[in-house]
Amino acid sequence: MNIKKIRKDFPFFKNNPGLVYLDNAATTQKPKEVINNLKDFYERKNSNIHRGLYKLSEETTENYENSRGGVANFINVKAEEIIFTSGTTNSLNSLSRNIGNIIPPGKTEILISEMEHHSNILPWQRLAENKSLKLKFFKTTKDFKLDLEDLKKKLSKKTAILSFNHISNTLGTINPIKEITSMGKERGAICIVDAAQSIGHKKIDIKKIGCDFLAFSSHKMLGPLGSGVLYGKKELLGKMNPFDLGGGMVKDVFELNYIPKKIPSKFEGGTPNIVGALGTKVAIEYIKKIGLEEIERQEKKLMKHTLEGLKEIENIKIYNPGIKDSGGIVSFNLKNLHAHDVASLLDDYKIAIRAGHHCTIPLLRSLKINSTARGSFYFYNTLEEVNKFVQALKEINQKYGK
Amino acid sequence: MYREELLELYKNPLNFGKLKKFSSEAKGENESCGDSIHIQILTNGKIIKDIKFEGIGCVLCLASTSLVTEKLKGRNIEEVKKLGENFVFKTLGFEPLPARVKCTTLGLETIREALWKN
Repeated sequence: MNIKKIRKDFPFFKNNPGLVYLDNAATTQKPKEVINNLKDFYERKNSNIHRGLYKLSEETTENYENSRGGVANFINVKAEEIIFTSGTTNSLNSLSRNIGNIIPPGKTEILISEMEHHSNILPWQRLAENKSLKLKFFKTTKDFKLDLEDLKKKLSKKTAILSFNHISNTLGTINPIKEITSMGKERGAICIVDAAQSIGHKKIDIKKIGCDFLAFSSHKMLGPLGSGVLYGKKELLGKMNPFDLGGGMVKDVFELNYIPKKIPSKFEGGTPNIVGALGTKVAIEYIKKIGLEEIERQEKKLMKHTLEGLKEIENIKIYNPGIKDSGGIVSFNLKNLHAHDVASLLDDYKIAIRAGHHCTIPLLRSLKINSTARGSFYFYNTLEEVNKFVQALKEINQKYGK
Repeated sequence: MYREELLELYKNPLNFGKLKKFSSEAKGENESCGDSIHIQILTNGKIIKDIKFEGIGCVLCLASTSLVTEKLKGRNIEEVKKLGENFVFKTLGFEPLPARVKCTTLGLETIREALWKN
């Protein structure tokens, strides 16, 4: 992998010389192919999908559906099982608002992990309240992995929904989603995967995982902001009520009722983020060109180097399961220096990281901390950048750690 | 942003501790980052005679609260109630990045809360 050459595909790096961007778990940079696609659409092809009985609109409809096909192919499902949303949060919210109606009778519990992002917690709190279900959490182990023993204890025939993340946005832990899904399926639970941090970083094959739903955002995998995906198993989508009601999702309308379109259209009321969907496919093509195996290998290399470097820092506390089980995300704290100070001090070195609770307050509470500093990588980061990062942290620790 | 002086105040904050006698007190927290301070103020009804604080926080929070408490001793209560973030920035000698403003203003806000309670 020629990283120097790859970085030239990203105008951001040219426009921010010397900046070490290690906030990829928040959002990734965009290759020129994705940016040009947005520009080209608005400059030459801007038109709405469906029923525009003119060439441009027909082309846009076709391209939009091709993007759906591209996403479906990327995660090995049927095109009709792909719903375009505005992002992971929107995917999980829409799902949680409507999944209540397809929960089989006798099932009364929702089970999620302690390691979830708020967007995979709060929607389930609301569902639990609205449908009188009980929300339960399974724990995290001391070495920052999901506690499968605890999961086993808490899973039961009563479990209606089992929702969990593929890669933790705070700990970097790669969770055994295939194993967890089969545990859930054995008990007849609907299994939902939050793939926000794994999409574009690891190969995702839904056929192999076996989950019922999976959510992700485009902007964390080189694509445009404001666009995302909800995958749902065809049989379940067919039974589920439409999401937003209005234009685009309906076949026939009477004064007092309506007949919705088939899947996936019934879940895409209103004009969708067309250009976002198109950009998602362009991002996927770029990722395929680089190769997911190659991307994983590069991230492992960067992480191995990072973890080795960080371990040399006196009094550092690292919240990560170790290289074998980790994606390209590492959380840490320096002794007696607040994570926000660490991030602000790194900013003076032109190193961009994130600090805070990373929208995982229950996880941090279980770790008895209120914040971490977090560096996160993507394939375009370099070993030189890791060295700068580690060196800067060493200097900060020496100067400011008390 | 991180001058030696501020780091020194972080390591050894001014006016850190508890007052034996105080007229009002308040607790302040920045929930998102965990800054948490407890302020005690002694007044004669018009003038702030003494202030002390305890708590945990980042460099900006503790250093700023140190400097602000120091500067407010001897000041008229009604005047202090009207002070805002500009007073804090002036005291610090710089304006922090937007995301860090709340770290620097927690001290003053908590002092004002204590005074308003009375």
